[in-house]
Amino acid sequence: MLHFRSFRGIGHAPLYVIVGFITILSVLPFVTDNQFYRGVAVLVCINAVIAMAWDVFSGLTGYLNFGIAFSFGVGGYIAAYLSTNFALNPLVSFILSGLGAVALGLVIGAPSLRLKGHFFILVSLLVPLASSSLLNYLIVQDGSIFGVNQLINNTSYIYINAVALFSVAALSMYFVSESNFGLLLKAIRENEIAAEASGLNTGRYKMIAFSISSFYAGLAGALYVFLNGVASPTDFGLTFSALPVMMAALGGMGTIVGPIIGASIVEGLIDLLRIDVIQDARLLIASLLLLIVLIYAPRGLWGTLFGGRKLGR
Amino acid sequence: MDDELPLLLVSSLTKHFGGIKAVDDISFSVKRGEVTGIIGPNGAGKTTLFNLITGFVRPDAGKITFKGRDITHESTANIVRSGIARTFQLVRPFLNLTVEENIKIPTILSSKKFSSSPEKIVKKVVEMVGLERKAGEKANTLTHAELKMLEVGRAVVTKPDLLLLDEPYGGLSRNELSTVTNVISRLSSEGITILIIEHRLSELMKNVRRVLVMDQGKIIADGQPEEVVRINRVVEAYLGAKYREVQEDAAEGE
Ligand SMILES: Nc1ncnc2c1ncn2[C@@H]1O[C@H](COP(=O)(O)OP(=O)(O)O)[C@@H](O)[C@H]1O
Ligand SMILES: [Mg+2]
Repeated sequence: MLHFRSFRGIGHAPLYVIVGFITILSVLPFVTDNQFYRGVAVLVCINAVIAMAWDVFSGLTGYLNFGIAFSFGVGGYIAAYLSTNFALNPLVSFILSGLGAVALGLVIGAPSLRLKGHFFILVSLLVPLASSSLLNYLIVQDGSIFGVNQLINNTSYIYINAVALFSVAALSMYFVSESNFGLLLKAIRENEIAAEASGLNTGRYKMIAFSISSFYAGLAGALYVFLNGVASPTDFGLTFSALPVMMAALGGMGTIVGPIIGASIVEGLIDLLRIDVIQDARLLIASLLLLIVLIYAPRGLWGTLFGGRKLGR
Repeated sequence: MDDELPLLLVSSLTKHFGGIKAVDDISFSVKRGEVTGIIGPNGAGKTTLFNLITGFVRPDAGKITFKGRDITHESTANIVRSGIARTFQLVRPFLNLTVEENIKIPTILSSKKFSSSPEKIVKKVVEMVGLERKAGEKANTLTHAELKMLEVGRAVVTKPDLLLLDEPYGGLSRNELSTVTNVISRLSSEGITILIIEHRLSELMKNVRRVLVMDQGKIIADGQPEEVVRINRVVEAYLGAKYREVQEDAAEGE
């Protein structure tokens, strides 16, 4: 299924950007052993992965997912649970976190994905909120249920994993977006009825794209929990649902490269300028940036240069 | 009697929307290679009939058989991949994709073995519908007439057995009509069976040997164009002034 379209028009530019990011991330530890910069790089990786994960489903199919924090949170909790209760190879528990996010995502998302229209958006808004409320309730009932503390907190190990995850996620999702499979997802976005009339089982394709998205969001969540040393209900919070959307829109929806750029700008700015002392600064900064950018570049930074989509249909 | 199996067999097909009998106990069959027109006033149920055949709308009763197989309850995707393609009365392009990409999409999904590479087939179809100069352009740069042709190109690229055209001349100016007519006759000569919903009778008559007349969900006449348009009931009750115009048109052409 994955025959790659010949690169045309924009040439290999997106691939160069991705390889450029991977190169910078790979040499950074050799250039400086400043822990702060490493920490920023890890956060950029995690945010870029979740923003690309958002894009590979919502940017390509046009089905806006306002609750990707659900997959992010589920991945994180599974990683935490596995690493505290079982002596698994970290890679195995990592993969299982992603797969768990896919499984739970499909259980909850599949019924609304089969339908056309706005059902999915509503479900996506509600599910992470409900999850975080439920978890808060459980913690009040029995504080130990999801208490996680024996996590791997070797920073080099986390750094290597972050760069590896970023690299695999960026390359694989970029190739998905440029493949025939990606073209079919864009057809759903452009006109779902015409896509069906072209012979596309749109429900199945939406679910496959949603699974890829949930998988990487789950992995990003797992890495985030490894980084923080704790899984908490805030992983399901609005921040992790809204930020990926803003980062993708800032960079350019449906381009995969756009979200990387969006994530770098938002996360990089916040951390390097140390404005994260304000509560919810991420959302605030991202919203302001997005507002300014969308006025001048409605298709996002990358999207305006190389073709992307406006937020919304 | 005809021992040849019809390509499409519609029997007692019915679809009501609330109190509206959009399609009301319709039966007809289409032979392989036929080009058939479907005419009738607005709201007669013509588009609904196409929606039923392609699985976009589920019938309340009746049966649709295509190539001897019951497709009444199949999904749209399966129906399309079994060899039925359609266009829409109001065009439905993939606006932010290029002309080539628009036409390529059905080939990715088709289970057919093509004689040459998909790229070549797409290129040929782009040429056939006269869009070669716009091949790399996004569909959102096309004119209405070009979008109409894009719609046809996308429907025929997989060489369907049955092609359903819903008002292919809709919104076209007089001098744009012949492009569509030529493409239809070319498709027909390639052996594609075609059903055409159309109001522009004079243009339609250049390609069809048979016309179904629909009104209020029923087929009220079925025959050769010359016969059908002479049936008083069709002329007076359902086509009225519109037909007289066409008669004049036809007289001009002779
Ligand atoms: N999805 C629908 N819901 C409700 N009514 C419909 C629907 N589709 C068609 N109709 C009604 O069915 C009748 C037939 O419509 P249609 O098949 O579009 O007619 P035509 O194509 O012959 O103009 C009309 O009265 C129309 O309003
Ligand atoms: Mg109609």
